[in-house]
Amino acid sequence: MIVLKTDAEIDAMRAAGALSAEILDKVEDLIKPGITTLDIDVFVHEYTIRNGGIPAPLNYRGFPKSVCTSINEVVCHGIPSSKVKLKEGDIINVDVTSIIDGYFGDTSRMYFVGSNILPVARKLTEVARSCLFRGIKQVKPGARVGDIGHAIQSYAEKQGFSVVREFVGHGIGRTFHEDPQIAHYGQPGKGTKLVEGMVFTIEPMVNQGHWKTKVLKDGWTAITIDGGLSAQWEHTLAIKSTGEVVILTESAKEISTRPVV
Amino acid sequence: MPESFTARTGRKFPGILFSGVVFALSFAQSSLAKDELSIVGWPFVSLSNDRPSFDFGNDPVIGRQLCPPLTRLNLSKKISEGIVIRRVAEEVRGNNKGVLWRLEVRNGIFWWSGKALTSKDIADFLTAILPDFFAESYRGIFQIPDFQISATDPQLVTIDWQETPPFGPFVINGIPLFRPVDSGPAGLKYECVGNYKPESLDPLVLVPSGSYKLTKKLPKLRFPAETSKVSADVSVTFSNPPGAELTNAKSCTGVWPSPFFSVIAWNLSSGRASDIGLRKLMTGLIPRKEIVASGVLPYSDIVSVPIPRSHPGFERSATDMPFDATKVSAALDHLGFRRKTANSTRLDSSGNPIRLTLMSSKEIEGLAEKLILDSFSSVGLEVDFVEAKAKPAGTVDGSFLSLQTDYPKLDFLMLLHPKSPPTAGFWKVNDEAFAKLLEQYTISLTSEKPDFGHLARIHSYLAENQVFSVLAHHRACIKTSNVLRVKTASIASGEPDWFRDLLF
Repeated sequence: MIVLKTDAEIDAMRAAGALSAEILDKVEDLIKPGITTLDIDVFVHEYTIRNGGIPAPLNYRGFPKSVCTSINEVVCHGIPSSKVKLKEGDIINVDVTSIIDGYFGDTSRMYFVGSNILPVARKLTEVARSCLFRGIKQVKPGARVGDIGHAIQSYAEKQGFSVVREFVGHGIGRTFHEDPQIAHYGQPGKGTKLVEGMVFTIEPMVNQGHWKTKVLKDGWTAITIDGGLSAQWEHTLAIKSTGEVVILTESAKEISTRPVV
Repeated sequence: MPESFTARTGRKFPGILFSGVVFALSFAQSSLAKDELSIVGWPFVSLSNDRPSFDFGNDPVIGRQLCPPLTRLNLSKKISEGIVIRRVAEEVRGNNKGVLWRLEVRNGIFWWSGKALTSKDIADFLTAILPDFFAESYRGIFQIPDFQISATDPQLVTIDWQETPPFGPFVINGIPLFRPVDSGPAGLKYECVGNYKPESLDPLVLVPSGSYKLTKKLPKLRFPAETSKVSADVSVTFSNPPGAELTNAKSCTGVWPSPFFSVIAWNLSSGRASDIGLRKLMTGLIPRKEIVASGVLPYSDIVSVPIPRSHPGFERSATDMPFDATKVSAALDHLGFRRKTANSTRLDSSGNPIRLTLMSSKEIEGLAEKLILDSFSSVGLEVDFVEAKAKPAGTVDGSFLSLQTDYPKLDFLMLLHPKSPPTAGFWKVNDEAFAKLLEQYTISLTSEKPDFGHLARIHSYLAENQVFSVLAHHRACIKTSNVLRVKTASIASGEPDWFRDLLF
């Protein structure tokens, strides 16, 4: 069921979005070779709580940590661990969702570990970000979810990459995952119609190789089926009653580096 | 966080109950280098003007320095022992003619005013206090025969029971010795026999009473408000609400088994929780490990009953019921509470959704609530949290409560016995066999060597029936500055005189 939000509710969601964005700003200072993904988890957990939030992933359907950390071939839902250390050249997605006053704010970013990044990894990361904003550009009242997916898929494939189909964006509000599902592939003019009051995430996962994924024995970590790299960016956005589209999880730092699409 | 794609067809402490007495008659080499110590974080014990509370003598930090009790339960030795009273003897008269308790008073004990303690003082004290004490402790459960108290000798007090009472002489464990005075220190209307007396109540400052000739000088004890910027010589931290001390929990070496627990008290009379099968499953859904690991309740221990692991009554065979959604789901299916779809709420046999209402508390609101909600919703049970006191207790399925036990006795008689007065938030267990268990343990506590097997049986009953479900045991982290040398092992084991050992 799609739960439409009033403008007041959308404004109330800004706090959670802002906190999640702020956390990702701070995470950037952490990322360097040698730190573990558990270090990232501890930081995110404590920062969230100290700033009045609740980390949504913790215990959600049994997820054991407060943040998802997905490195290289991990597509999404990577579980932070003391055994996983960042290495020079890695690319990592950190996915943060905070809850404030009962509202969720979900966002994720890619980070480069060190400076010695493979050209394909750099390109994949930039294309994934571009995909996100190309998808966001399609959002307006009356558009269809398929418009978003088509914009993302066509661009990613033109760049020689593929778009994951097994994981999707989602409605969000007072619960973590609501309707509608936002697939990052599709045909224009198809799918659920976008209307005022909708709040949802767009979070394309773009793969170096095949789009298929598999989930590891831990029940969470999804990896590319061919071992190729994967990159993802995510924002939570809302369509207000005026038709204005607002991104609830973009920090000032991010705005300044937004790709032109 | 992306969602898996699915084809759609259409979550005061009014008084601290501790056992043990600080009463120094001789002193070890002092390790102190300061005239004053500041202690931060110890729960403030309300010092009533008229008299100390019955549990005051159990407080190891403040109570025992001020008003030591006549006798105490020493959990480390697992016996009751005399403090102001040197020795207790019970003489049973033949032909059911009752019993005589003989209390031998120690020499060399003085009131704050400097006057020597006499056996008559103790006789007067017990005459005044015991009727009130029995009325409060055993209301409607035990019959109290008539008794006569006499000071038959300068060092002897007798309590003469014409009929044998249901309890033994160590029923007086923990009761602080005091006597009324017109004008006591800091405006109190009583005095005690402790090494310390209060200089002021707000802020609380304790000074040596001066009644005892000591080989070492005792420091002044200050209890500044935590908001002050005084650096503390003794810093005590209990589990705090979210946001506080998240990282320090792992570094604490002086962990003390406090009497505080977070529990869910279940409504045994009506609603979903009155079904024992469902109740036991629900307790298995409480993500205790996750809650403690999240830092919401630092220093906490995961136990399934309100008995610390270190207590002799802790039953090690009682299972902890770790959270396992798969097993709980299967068990719910077996009970007939099924889901129509993989993510829908379970329905009972009448087609009604299984929805629980839980009364929340300050300790768990926020992250802990969310963790609990996630666990329940993962198996298809809905939970609504309501604010404390928002609804009458009888209309909710459970209440999150902070339980302050009378550690180290852990006497649950007045909390759970069907004949005891109603206790806010706790439903009574109407089970005769369980009531008998409670009575047997209470009585056993009043003998010189209590039988903690009774408590272990109570523990097993509580674990099996989940009358209430324990989230966590809130231990305290005690840190001391370099001026104090403390054996952290003694704090960790709950030695009754651990605080005295800091001072002397």
